[in-house]
Parts: sequence; structure tokens; C-alpha cells
Amino acid sequence: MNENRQYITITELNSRLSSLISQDKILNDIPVVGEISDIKIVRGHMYSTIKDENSSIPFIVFNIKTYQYIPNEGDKILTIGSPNLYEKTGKISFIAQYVEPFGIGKLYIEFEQLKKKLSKNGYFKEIYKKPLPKYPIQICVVTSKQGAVINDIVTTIRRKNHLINIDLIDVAVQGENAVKEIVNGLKLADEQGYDVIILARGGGSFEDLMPFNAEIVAETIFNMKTCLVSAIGHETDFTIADFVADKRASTPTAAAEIIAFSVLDLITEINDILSNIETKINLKILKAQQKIFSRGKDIQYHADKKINNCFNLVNNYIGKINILNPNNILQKGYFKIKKGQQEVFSVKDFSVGDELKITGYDSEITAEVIQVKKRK
Amino acid sequence: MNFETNLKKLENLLNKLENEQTSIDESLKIYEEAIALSKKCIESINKSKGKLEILTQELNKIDFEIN
Repeated sequence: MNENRQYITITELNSRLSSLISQDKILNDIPVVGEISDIKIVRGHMYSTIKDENSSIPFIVFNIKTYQYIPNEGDKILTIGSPNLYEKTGKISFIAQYVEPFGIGKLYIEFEQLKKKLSKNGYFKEIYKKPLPKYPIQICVVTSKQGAVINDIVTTIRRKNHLINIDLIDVAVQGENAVKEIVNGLKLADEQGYDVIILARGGGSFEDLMPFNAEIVAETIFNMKTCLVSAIGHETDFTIADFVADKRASTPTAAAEIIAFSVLDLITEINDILSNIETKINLKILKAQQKIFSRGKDIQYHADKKINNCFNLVNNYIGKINILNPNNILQKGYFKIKKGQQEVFSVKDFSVGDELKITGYDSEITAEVIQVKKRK
Repeated sequence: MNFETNLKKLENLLNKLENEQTSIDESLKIYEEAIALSKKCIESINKSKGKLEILTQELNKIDFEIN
């Protein structure tokens, strides 16, 4: 520095400030928590602002695409980095070396990441969802026996149906043992051959519901043989378990409504089916009878025809026979001649003096042969 | 003896009657036989007809109403 000078240049000022900042041990590689806003990605680098209730500072992440977690607008994050003064403008920014989601934001991001992963692996696909049995009789509720959930479910089911058998597997639904107990409870229920299993929990905060967002819970549900209905939290709460379950009910009461069939409705339905069957059978009988009747008429017609044919045939013979009635011949003036008992046909049968018996239509004559001559 | 056999017999008798060689005496006998046989045939037809009538009545009597 020139000794005669009473001032320093801006470049010198900024250079000095910059080295002050970079040499400060407290300011370098420090963890900082704040909320991200005004995100802009320029040439692969993220330019944004990190802030708390009172203050903010420009926040830069170079080569953001190389990071596993990319912050979104409004995300609360934990970052490690250092402030840096850009000497050309004197602007101070925080340059991050590391970023991760923080607090509920962290849980939420983990939730989103797991949801994405499971979805990609097909865990939520419709084709894997087992159909809800229409008339379940054996059901199991996996939930905590404390709290209103089991009571709500039983009351709702009983309102419609007194036949359904409801078992309870008591599990912790929050806290450190919850995941393990939920997984074991589901596996145990799955082995018992229930018609349907309800996994239920009452309302709670996002953190309270976290056990139902565990990957191992999702895997357990996905591998179950029994149809599973999830009923976790309130209507607006969606957990990973809800997405994997065969059917999601908005609340435990709603799950009970979905599952319980009305015995009265079932009886009505059965009666309808029976009367439908009866109508169909009667119609079939009627058709068969009509067919038989028409066949009967056909047969009758043919039998009549056959008998008439026979009649005509016989009549025909009778007519012919009548024509050949030997008496008819005699009536025409012909006579029958016999010599003793012998029939005579030829000239050889006659001799002069033979006594002949002549039979006519109304006469019997005895005559003698006077002359025999052969006809020419 | 059934109708068809009787009919066949009747035909034979007719043939004999038509035969010039058949004597008057024989013809008379055949004629008698033919008449008797014809009667039998007609009787058997009438019997069948009667039976058919009864069956037809029964067919018509079947109640096709349901309920």
C-alpha cells in the first residue's frame, strides 16, 4: 500500500473482506439450518436464498445435479458450507458443500423418496391388489387395544352384522417398537387364514404416523396372502401402508363400513336370486311342455295318417277281392260244371254220356253229355 | 298276428284269386278267407284308431298352466 495514500481501493476492500471471511474458523464448514426459496438453476448450479424468520443470505450449490437430494422451494434444509464474498460485487453468499432435508421436511422427503421407489418397483400397482371379499366372516384388526379405534370398528360392524367374528392383534402404533410390532402383527394375522385384515390407527401428526411409512411395513403388506384394508389416521392422511394396502379406507370407521355386509341385505339378495331362478325354471318347463305338446300333435297327425293309409290299403284289397268274388262270375251268367267230385277244364275231361253237375247263380242242374267236340 | 302279416297274406290271396288256374271251389274258399282276413285287418285298424283317439284326448287334457 502506498504510504501517501489516505484510502484503499474497492478491490482492496473486497479482497481484504474476502480473506477475513475465508480465514474465520467459525464461519468455515459450518452447519446451517434454514428454508430455501427463490430457486434458480443456471448452467447446473443452484442459486437461491436461505432464510429463517429474521434473516436471509444468498445460497449457492454448484453442480446441484450431483447431489442425491435436490431442495425444493420451501424445503427446510441442513447444509454444510462456508460464506463467500464475491469480490467483483461485494456480495456475500453461502456456498454449500452438503445439503440434506431437515426436521419434518426431512421425514416428508424420505416419505416421498420411498413412495417413488416403491411405486417404481410396482408395489402400488392395481394388478397386485387382492379383491375385497364380499361376505367376510373372519376378520382381524391389527391395531392398539388402547384408543377408540377397535371400539369404533366393532360398533360399526355390529350395527350391520352380528355374524362377523372380529379378532384383535394388539400392536404399538407409534414409538420405537411400532414398526417391529406392526410387521409381526401383520405376519401373524396373515397366517391365520382370515377373510380380511384391517390395519388401523387413529389420527396423529405426520411423525406419529411414521411407522406406517416404514419400508419394511410396506414390504410386509405387499407380501401378504390375505386382503388388507388400511385405515390410518384421518381422511387427509396418506401413508405408504395406504398405498400398498389392497384397499384404503379414510378412517377406521370407514374400513368397518366397507367390510361389514348387511345380513338383512344379504337375505334379500338371496331371496331375489331364488325367485329369479324359480321364474327361469318355470319358463323352461313351460317351453318344454309346449314342445312336448307340439310334438304330441305331430305324432298324432302321423299316427292318423298311418291308420288312414292302412285303411285305404285294406279297402283297396277288399275292392279287388270283391271284384273277384266267384259268385259275381255266376251272376254274369257263367256256370260251374263238375263231373262227380272232379273239376273239369278241358275237352279231354268230357265223354258222351257223362253225368255233369252244373251250378248256376240260383240253380243246380244235373245234365248228360250228348256230344264232345274240340274247339277250333 | 300283426297287421302287416295279415296284409301280406291278403295280397297272396288276391294273387291266387287272380290266377286263372285257381278253381271255382278253391276261389270260394280263398274268397271266404280273404273276407275274414279283411275283417281282421279293419278290426285291428279300428282298434288302433280307438287307442289313438284316447291318447289324443289325454294329450289335450294335459294341463300346461303353471301356478
